[in-house]
Parts: sequence; structure tokens; C-alpha cells
Amino acid sequence: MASALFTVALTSDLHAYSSVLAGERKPSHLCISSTEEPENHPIVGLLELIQTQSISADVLLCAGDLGHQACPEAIKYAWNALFQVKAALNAGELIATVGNHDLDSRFIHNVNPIQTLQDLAPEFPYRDTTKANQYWSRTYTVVPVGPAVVVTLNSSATHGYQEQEKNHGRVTPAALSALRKIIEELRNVPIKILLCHHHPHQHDELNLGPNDVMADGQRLLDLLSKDTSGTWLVVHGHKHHPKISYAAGGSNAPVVLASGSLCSALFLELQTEARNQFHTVTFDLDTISRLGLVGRVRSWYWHCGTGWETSHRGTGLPYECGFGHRGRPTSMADAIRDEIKNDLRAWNTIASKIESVNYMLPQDFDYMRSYLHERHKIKITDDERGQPFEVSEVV
Amino acid sequence: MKPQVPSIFESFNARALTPAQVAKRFVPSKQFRDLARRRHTIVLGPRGSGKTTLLKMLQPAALEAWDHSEAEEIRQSIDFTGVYIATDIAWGEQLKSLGEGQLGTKTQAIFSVATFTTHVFRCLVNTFISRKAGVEGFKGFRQLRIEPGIERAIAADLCKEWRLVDVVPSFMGIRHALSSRLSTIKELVTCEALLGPGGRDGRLAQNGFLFLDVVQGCSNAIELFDDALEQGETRWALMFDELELAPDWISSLLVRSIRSSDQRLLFKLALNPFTAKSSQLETPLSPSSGQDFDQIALWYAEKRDSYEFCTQLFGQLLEDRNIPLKNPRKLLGNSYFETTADDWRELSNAYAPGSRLAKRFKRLYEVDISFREYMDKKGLDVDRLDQLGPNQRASDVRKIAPIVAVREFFRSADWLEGKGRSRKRASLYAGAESLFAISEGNPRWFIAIMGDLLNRVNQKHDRIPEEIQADEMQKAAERFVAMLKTIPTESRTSESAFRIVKSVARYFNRLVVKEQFRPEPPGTFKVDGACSGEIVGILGQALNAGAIVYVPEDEGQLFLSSLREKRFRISYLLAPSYGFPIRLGPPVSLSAILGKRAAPAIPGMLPFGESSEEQADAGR
Repeated sequence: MASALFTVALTSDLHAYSSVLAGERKPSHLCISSTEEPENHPIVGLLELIQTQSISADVLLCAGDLGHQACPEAIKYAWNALFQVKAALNAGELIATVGNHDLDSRFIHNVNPIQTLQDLAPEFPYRDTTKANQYWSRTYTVVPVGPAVVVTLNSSATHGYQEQEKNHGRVTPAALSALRKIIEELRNVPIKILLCHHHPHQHDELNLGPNDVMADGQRLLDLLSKDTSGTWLVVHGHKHHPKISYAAGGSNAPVVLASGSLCSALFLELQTEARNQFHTVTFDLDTISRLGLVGRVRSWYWHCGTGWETSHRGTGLPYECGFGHRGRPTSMADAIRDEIKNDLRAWNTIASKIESVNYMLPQDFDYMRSYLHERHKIKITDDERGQPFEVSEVV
Repeated sequence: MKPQVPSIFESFNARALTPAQVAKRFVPSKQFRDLARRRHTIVLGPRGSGKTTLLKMLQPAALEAWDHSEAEEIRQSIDFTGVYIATDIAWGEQLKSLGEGQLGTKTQAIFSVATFTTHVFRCLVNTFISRKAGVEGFKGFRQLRIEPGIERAIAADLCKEWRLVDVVPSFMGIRHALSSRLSTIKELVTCEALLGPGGRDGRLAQNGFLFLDVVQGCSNAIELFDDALEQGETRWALMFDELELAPDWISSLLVRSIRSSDQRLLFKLALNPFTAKSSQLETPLSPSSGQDFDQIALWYAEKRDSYEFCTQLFGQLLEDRNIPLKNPRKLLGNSYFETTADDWRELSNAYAPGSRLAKRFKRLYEVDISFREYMDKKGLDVDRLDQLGPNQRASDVRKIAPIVAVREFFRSADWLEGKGRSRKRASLYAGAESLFAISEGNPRWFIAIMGDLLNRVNQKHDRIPEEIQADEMQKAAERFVAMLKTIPTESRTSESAFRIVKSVARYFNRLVVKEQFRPEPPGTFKVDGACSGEIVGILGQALNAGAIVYVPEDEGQLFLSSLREKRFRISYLLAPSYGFPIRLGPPVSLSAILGKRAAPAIPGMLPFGESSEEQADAGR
């Protein structure tokens, strides 16, 4: 019997803009007045990708920064664009959160930093007015979607108040307190996702800077770690650097997925190992019931002039990777050695036999690959997309 | 190495296409059927003539993906596995630049051989992969069910044979290892450039893989594959594309292999028509055409020879665009030069007074003194052409009809008054037969011209108007002229492929249109002894670009190591630009056309007679 799958599509940091001054650097590939060829327009390209590769999702998430520097027209444009993506994916819901660039915290266009967002239609960050109101007043709201629940958190809620606040994210004490209760209420939900813009733990490699991390982010992660009913997935944006890791703490610490950026012009340092990416995360409910929160991530990257392509090494997250299995990579390598004996084995036969290997983080998988080679003289070859293809002891 | 000749319509180049993409719109030609025979073959053709497509189509994956009414029959007839090998610049020039000129010829050759060998092995193992049936049990063309244990055994032996270590014993593992080896060779080149010649021989000797023999390595690999899979002794074709770009020693090695190699191996080599490498086929020990190998020309000296292929290609383009299949003459009309069934039907005789053809003769007779003199001298009455016996009509009238058509067209009142010149000139060549001739049966040109034309078809129209055809032909001719201007020459004078071709084309136009009427004016040229080596070299590039077309006297002698004493015509693609008839004519010596320019040039001196020629050109 086919098991029930639930897919979440992830976008973040569109940074749409209306114009730049002569000589000024373009903030993103998404200009609201640009021509609409799929090779040059990341949203038109994404719509084409979704159609040609038959990508579908149950829900579309956006981790903030729809527009650049709070440009009202650009934010509206991006919000509409996201609804087009949602329709193309055949997704039931679009849930977003606020990024620092969505707030007019320098009061350039409005006296109210959130005016543009509150004027959006359908409602931002979610179509339901009551939930949208809760989000604006309490800095979070909870949206159930099928077997999942998405808690969308406004990590920029204090921007526009104290001067220094706009330089980083924050989870407020009130939100933490409320979350404690929410966690209890969601005990029976198999897939729990917290969506926010700022990174809740440090993410400062590649000269990305340490100062903008979400204040009290670690407290948020610790709180989620204590949920004895299951593991949380935290999805964030802001750093434009796609990455998946486990939060610090025990083995129930949340999975933290940095979504990268859908369209922004990346900093030079970032370009050495990342591109703009679009992801889907697929959960298998049957597997979750046995292994806890595990899933598979699929990623595509944007190549200006060609369009969206399947990701590979050097573009951020690989075309496919997993998360959720926290066992030692060395134990997994030993299990593979025992399984293949002296044969040449197709990777998919190993993956179906040793299920957990599908849910290793890409960095754990790489570790296991090196260990297999060094310790057991076993190598995994990849196919054209950089995905494991077959495995054998070397000759 | 000479710079590569540029080509137009590069977006239609099959180089970057996957086998399935190549197969998608492939139309089989006679040349493809010849190439598919179990014979060593040398394929010759200018840029864009479809050499890459033909070779790529012989790969198992392309044949498997091919959907055409003749596909199954051709698949059944092919009893070898095609291994496609594109020439890589890394075989020669790239390594030379990596070594920064610090490596001697011997070391350079060692690295070049090793890179070539590794590349060929990689292509062979790719073909092994394509012969592996999917796990679902479906077996495509020449595919085999290969159990992992068997694959591991073949691959493990292959690793020993090809000196690969620390490799997953699978075809994919070997492919990756060979890719790594290509990187290793580049590293070694750079290291050797730094370390210098001291102790080099010893260092190189430690890397045994540098000295593997390509033909032996392939033979052994095929033997391992066939034996492990109990295939008996099957045949494999190593198909080398764009060999003119490869270092001489590689083409020389391959040409030698035609004669001496293992029976399991076939060689199919694709080359430009003019290459110095052709001389490798002219030594006493060389393999000989017809006996040791077949040669296939991808050009058509006679326009009628390409018509059938063009008709098929045309049908394919209609199908791609969901346009109902039609006879090309229905959609494009008849050519200006044809005598059609309608001509015969309407007045019971195509030359009856008042007919299209009789009117044309009559109009020219009235305005052209030299034509009138010719007709009178022959005793031919323009008002009674229909009353001539069939034999006399064939010898005296039908033979000159195409010349009369061109001459009358350019001498008509409209033309001389300068009404709509460029469009009008191209409209002379409208109609299926002429349009096909202008494409030269070159698939890349044909698809580009006809594709653009069909994209402009209004489905309601029964026929594509002449002016639209003229527009597309004119555009294609102009693009071709623009490309010809970019052909680099090593000449120190202002001579170029374009200038020479232009002079010849205008000369033929002048003979037909301006000068005394001649029933059979020259339409081809011979590169005679009075032409300088420089001119001959430049013409070689024009030939490879498709600007001139070789008209062989002997069908067995297609590849050229020298153009001297050979006969050529100008590509019909240039006819809309220069207004010459699309027909072969008797040859004239090139030096007679070029005058003093044919002689060895004095650097810096302008070619003779260019300005007067400009004025004399009837087509401008």
C-alpha cells in the first residue's frame, strides 16, 4: 500500500525591487518591470520548472523578504507571484512570515512599518483574517495544514522600535511563553514546522556575520527540543545560504533548514558555494511513525540565462538529501559494508534495505562516504545529478 | 592547427544534443544507410552538412529512441555497436598551452596520446552503460540484461587492463575513474612543466597508464564485455567526429588502423572535405577507397541528388508544426526554371505561343541583340518553338531555357529600372526545386531556412507566397555572406575566402546576364596551375565552410589533400545574393576569373580590377 506523503515547498528572500539608481547594484534577479522569459525571470522560470517537472506540494512556505527595502510595489508584486507559484504547485495553502526587508522600519514609505503588509490581499502572512490579526498582535500564528502544522513566527516584530532592534531578529518572551502551551496542544500532530525569517542559531560562516542572529533563538530551539511528542523542523531565511543542520542540544533538537534565497543577488563569498535555490521537503507519514521526524529535501538552483536546473554540488543543498537520522555515520557505513559483502550493488537496493541511510544530513552522508572508503575500501559512485548510484568494494 | 572554419545556424549544431534529441527529428538519407553498413567509412562534408548527426545516430541510444517509418528496418540491418567519439581540443592544443611550451615534442606526444586514449576508453565505457538494460526488464536496441556480478567481473578485469585502481568495479565507476584520469594527466603536464626535463623519463615511466595502446585497449575491453556476456565476436564501430581538429598523429593512427586492426573494430571517421590529413590516405601503405573503406560525401554536386532527402526533411518539418503533409511543390510552388505539367496542359505544348516559356523567349529575343543573333543563326523562330521536333527542342531550346530564364529576368524592364531589387533577385529562386537546391541538401541550412519559412506560414494559405520565400532566402544568403567574411586567413594580403567567392559568383552572373549570349556559359571552375598557393589555401577554407562545392570527376576520389586541378562550383546558397543560375556548367580556370589576383600576391597590394568589377555586376 502506498504510504501517505506530505510535501512542503520552500521559498525565501525574493528581494523583489522596482528600480535601482544608475551604477547601483541590483539587489535581486526579480525586478518588477523585467521581461518575462523563463530563462531570465526567476518566477516565470519557476512556474515553467514546476510544470515541466510536475512538481506539486501541499503547502507553500515563504520565509520572508518578499521585497527589497520595503518597496511597497515590489512586496505586492512578490506576494502575487507567490500565489501564482502556489497555484502552479497545486498547493492548498500559502503561509509566509515577515522579513526585515518587508518592514518599513526606516519609515521611507509609511509611518507604520507594517502598513504595506497589512494592505496586502489576500491577507499576509496567511489568508485567514483572525490568524493574520493574531500574527500581527502576538507575533505568531498557528496554521494546521493536513497532517502538519505551521507555526509562523514574526522574528522582526520589534523592528521599528528600539534603534538597534532592526539589526537582528528576536523571539519575544511572550511568544516563547505562548509556544510552550502550543507545543502541548500539538502533541498528536506528526509534522511540526516553525517558520521564521531570522536564523535561530548562529550562521556566520562565509563572512556572513554573527550579529543578526535571532535574539533568544537558542531559547526557542531549547523549548522545541523539549517536545516529547516529536521533533520540530525550523525553516528560516535571511542568510541567503541554503543549509540543513540539527540545532545544538540533545538528539531531539530541531532540524534547522536555512532556505537560502529564491532570487536575491548573492554576496561574492556566498557565490563560492551557493546559488539561489528552491526546495521541496517531503515527509512520509508511515516512516515518521516508525523513525520520528525524517524527510527528504529536493532542491533546484537558478541560473540566470538558463533558468531553474536540478541542484548539484556547489549550488547549495544537493539535488536530493535527507534529514532526521541522527545515528553515527560510521555505524551506517558498517551496516552498508555488511549488506554489500563483495557485490556491486545499485544504491537504491541499499537504500531500501537500510532505510535510515535516506535520512542522513548531506554532511553526515559525506562523512560516511569518506569513512567507507578509508576504512572499508568501499566507494559510492554518483549518477549525473550527483546522486548515489551504486556501491562496491573498490578494485 | 588551422583555426576552425565558422559556420552559420550554429544553434542547429548536433554537437551538444543527447542521442534522444538527435533521433527526435532524424530523417534517414542514402548516406546514412551507407554509413550504417558494416564497413570502415570516411565521411566527408563541410560544416553543417550533418556529419555529427549521422555518427551520433549510430549510437544504440539514438537508434533506440528513433521513431520513423524506416527506423525498424534500419535498426535490424545494423549489426555493430556504435561508439561516438567527439574530437576534444584537449588532445593537442590544450595540453600544449598547459605545458606552457616547456615540454618537448616527445613528452607532449606522450600526454596527448594518453589524453586521447583515456577519452576513447571513456566513450567506450559510456557505450557499455547504454547497452545495459534497465532493471525493469525492458530491453532496448542492442541492450542486454547485465547482472551486477557480471558487470563487476567485467569492470574489475577492465580496471586491470586499463590500469585503474581504487575504483568501484562498475561501468559507471570506471567512467568516473577515467574522468579523474583526464584531470590527473593535466596535473602531470603542469608538474612536468615546473620540474623540467631532469629525471622526466623516470617519472613518466612510473605512470604506466600513459603508455596504453588505444586500439588494443578497446579490443581487449570489447572482448571482456562480449565474453562475459556470451555474445560471441560482435562488432563495434569507433566513430570519430571532427577529426580535422585532432592532431595529425591521431588521424594518422586511425587511418592506419583501418587496414590493420582487429576484425571486431570498425572505424568511421568524419572529416572536412579539404584537410591536410587527406594526404595520410595517399601513401602507398594507406588503405584504399572502395577496397579497405567506403567514402561518403555529404554534399551534392548535382542539385537533383538532394531533392529526395530535402523532400523527406520537409515532410518532417511540416509534421513538427502540425501542418498537414503536402507535396513541397504544392506549398512552395514550381521553380522559375521548371517546365511544369500545367505548362503542357494549358496550351497542349509548354512552348506554344502565349505560354509562360514562349513569352520568356520572346521577351528576351526582343531586348537582347546577342540572343536574337543566336536564335536567328540557329534558325529558331521564337513564335514557333512548339513546332520543333522533340529532339531539336531538347537540344536547342530546353537546354538553354535556364540560361534564358536568368538572362531575361535580369534584363527585364522592372529589373533595369531598379524596382525592389533584392527581393526580386531572390524571387527568381522561389519554388520547391530551387529552394531545395539553395539549401544544398545541408540539413542545418535546410532546417534553418525552411523552419523560419514554415513559421511564417498562414495555415489558410495553400501556397507560401514568393515574396516570403524570397525574404527567407535573402536572409539566409546574407547570413552566409556575413559568416564568410569572418573566416580567418593566414594571408598577409587582403585576399579572403569571401572576396574570392564573391568574384567568382559575380563572374558567373556576368557571363549569363551581361556578356554575349552563350548557350552553355561556364558555371564551374578549375583551380589551375596559375593560382598561387595562398589562393588555393584560402579556397580550402571556403570549401570546408560550404561556400564552394567540389564537383568530382571521379566519384572514388572525394577527399582532397590539394584543390589543384579539381573542379568546383559556388554554393547555391549564394545565388540569391549574386544572381547566377543554379546549374552546373562547363568549367573555366580560376585564374581566368581572378586575373592577376590569382598569381602570388605582393603583400599590401590591392587586388586587381575590383572597382570595375563592382560596376559590372548586374545583380547590384
